[in-house]
Amino acid sequence: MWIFYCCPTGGFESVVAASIHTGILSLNRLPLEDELLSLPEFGVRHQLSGRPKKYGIDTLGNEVFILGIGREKGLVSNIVPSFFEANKLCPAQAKVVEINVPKVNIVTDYLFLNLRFDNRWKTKIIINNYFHIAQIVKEVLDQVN
Amino acid sequence: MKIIYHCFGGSHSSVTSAAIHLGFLEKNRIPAGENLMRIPFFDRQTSEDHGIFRFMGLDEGRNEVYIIGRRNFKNFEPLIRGLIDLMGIKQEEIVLINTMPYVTWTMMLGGFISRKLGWIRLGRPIVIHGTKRAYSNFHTLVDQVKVMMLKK
Repeated sequence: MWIFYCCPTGGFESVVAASIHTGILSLNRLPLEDELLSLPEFGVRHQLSGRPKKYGIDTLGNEVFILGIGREKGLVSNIVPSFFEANKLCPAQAKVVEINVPKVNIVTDYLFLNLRFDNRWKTKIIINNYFHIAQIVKEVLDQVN
Repeated sequence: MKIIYHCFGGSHSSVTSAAIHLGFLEKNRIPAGENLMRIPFFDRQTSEDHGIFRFMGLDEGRNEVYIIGRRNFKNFEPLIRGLIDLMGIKQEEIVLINTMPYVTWTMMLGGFISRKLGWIRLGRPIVIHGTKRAYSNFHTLVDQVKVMMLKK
């Protein structure tokens, strides 16, 4: 199975989710700010390329990707499985997970997408919402197991 | 080979272009409104349909022709290209055609009224009128696509 964690930039929420999924970060322990900053791909604005980036493989052999989707919430969740189906692959093999974090909204997205605000501010938002992201990943893990 | 015509809503310009490509509409004759309405998906798709690839048919070269509505997603083509790489498909096997540059403001207005607001009785005649006015743009586009495919 291919699991795509998506967020507006492809560099913050999705990276944290993918890191939790692949075991780099814990489901149950709040990471330190520096742990987040040192994650591979953290703060890299992948929405600029638009292409999914492979992040790792989980314990069951599922491939985990991160993807920047800008402001188009809900759309990629249709595109990816539908494209699988159009290419005679089982759409259930593609799981798209959009990470929506409270207090991350059109204003914060604009600041980070367009004005490239300091990653440390975003890191604080992520830490405040860490267990929300962890819960999403836990639900995904329960579904794929 | 797969040919994917894409536009905002997957209801008008992509559908018209795909229909011309497949021969559902004559190239040199502006279709009547009833003929446009007979095309699958023309002025039918809603926001729930956005992002879903719709198969329109096989062309004379047995290429699969699809349409899709992808809203304003700027990275639609890079996403598909990235998925193609991941799937191990050759890039040249998938042709992506953006029909939005050929859409007129009348089509946008009529499409918005019909699809977004749901005021079909008002919006549909406007979008049909706009499509007819822009028809030559779409058949020029399809001609270019077919020439490009011959070169491959």
